[in-house]
Amino acid sequence: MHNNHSNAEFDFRVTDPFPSLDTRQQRIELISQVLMEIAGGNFEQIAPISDHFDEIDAIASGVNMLSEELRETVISRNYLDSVLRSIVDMLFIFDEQFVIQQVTPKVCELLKTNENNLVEYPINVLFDGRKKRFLQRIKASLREKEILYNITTSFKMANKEKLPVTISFFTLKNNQNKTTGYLMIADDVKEKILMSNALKQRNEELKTLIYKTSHDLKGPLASMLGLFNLLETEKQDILTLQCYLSHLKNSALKLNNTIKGLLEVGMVDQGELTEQAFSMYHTIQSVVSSLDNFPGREEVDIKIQVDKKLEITSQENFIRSILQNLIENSIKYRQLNRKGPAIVSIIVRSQKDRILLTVKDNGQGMDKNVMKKAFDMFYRGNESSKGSGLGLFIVKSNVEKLGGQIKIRSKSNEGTEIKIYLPIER
Amino acid sequence: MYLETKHFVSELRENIILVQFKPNLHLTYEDAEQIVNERLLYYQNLEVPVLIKNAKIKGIDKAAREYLFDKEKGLKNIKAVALVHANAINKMLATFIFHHHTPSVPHRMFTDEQKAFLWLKQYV
Repeated sequence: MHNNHSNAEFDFRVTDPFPSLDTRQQRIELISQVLMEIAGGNFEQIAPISDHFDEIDAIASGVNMLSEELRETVISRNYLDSVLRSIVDMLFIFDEQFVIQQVTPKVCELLKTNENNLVEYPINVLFDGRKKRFLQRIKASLREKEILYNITTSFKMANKEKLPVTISFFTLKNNQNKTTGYLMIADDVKEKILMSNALKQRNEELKTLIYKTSHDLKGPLASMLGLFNLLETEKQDILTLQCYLSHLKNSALKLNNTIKGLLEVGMVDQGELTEQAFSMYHTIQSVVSSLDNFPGREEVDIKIQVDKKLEITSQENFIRSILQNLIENSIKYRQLNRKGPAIVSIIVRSQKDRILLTVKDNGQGMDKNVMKKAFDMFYRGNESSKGSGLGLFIVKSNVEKLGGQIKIRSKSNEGTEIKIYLPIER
Repeated sequence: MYLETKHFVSELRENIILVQFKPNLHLTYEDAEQIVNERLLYYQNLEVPVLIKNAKIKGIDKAAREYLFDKEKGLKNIKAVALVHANAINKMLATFIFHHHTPSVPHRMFTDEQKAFLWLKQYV
């Protein structure tokens, strides 16, 4: 049966596109030019094929096909590179011997190293030397299962610190299903651990808050109720009544202190940061003036050293709270039997992009044991302390919320110096 | 059954399709599509082995190679492939194709057309 399709004209006309391919030498020359182009990354040039259909043409044909395959590989490789660069997680590519072939920039950033210290090195370079057996187990499991998920471990950083991570492995295969390497994705869990620890700490603080609050509110309330009971049931002379009233006032003041402190704690926790530019000099002056009627103020000489032109952009009410608590503490814990005057110095200095606020007194000071706990919630230096135990806790919380740092130096019977570093602009 | 198109001449002999490509072709993706469509149109759903005779093909594009040796496209209804080569280019093409685009059906290269025909008979 013979069938001539519509386009079935038998066209044997040969158009030689390379009429100049006369000599072997010329043909080889052209093939070598194409090879040089390929080596330079140009895959567009084609090796000419003559009508000889001989070995030289076969080589040209092979070179052309190889060029096409390489072009696709290069395109895939460039695509993969761009994907890798945009990945934010740590990603590693290993060959079949677990030698690192490629890493994402995030790897170098988190491990504080550069590519040259990782690429071409075995996987062991990422881990502590004691993890040899761990790595052997990983390799064995991977050969068996091909994929491993979320293994918790840690990487060795360039500065010898550890970076806690979870790692997952995937086996890379070619189209003949042969393993050509492995891919590892690592997730930095340092932040998660820090967050979890911070949550635990907050939880503990909350428990302390509930316990201490009920205790601190219950004590003065019980005293007040007892005093009211006495006032109601017994006839008292005027002096005794005055004494009871004085006790009642003290209990009410204690309650007031506790509630005031708690309100400030609430303000730190819930307050949203609305920054504004303000003069440190005016803020300090304003806080000092507000303490004119504070008990003991008249016995304390407050010295202020601050550049009147210094302005910072921050949360002013937090800074007012910090100053108020520190100055109140310096007044409250002044040395009562001291020969010379009680002095509180407030010094502000600007340092590049931050300010250093120092509040220094020559008061009672603290010993090392007290100082260690000075910033804890509800901690009082001694049983006779009349404070709420929240002052320095509030100061520290405020400083942290403003992105600053706090340092304390103190010595019993000599005084206390608190240094606070705050950013000029947040 | 004999079919002649722009690209090839083919014949159904003893339930084996023998294909002779026309000389000096450089097959592109469009050529490959046309070749397969013409075969399927003419031989309908006939499932057969194929013998590709030695031809003076100058080259086959990568996309065309992939299309022609894809199980669902070029190899649709094809039970086995025998490639007969008598010139160096066709040997290179066949070697390259069998290595990079390995057909999913039985396949072999021959220099002798008769031997290729006999080998294909087992797949009829």
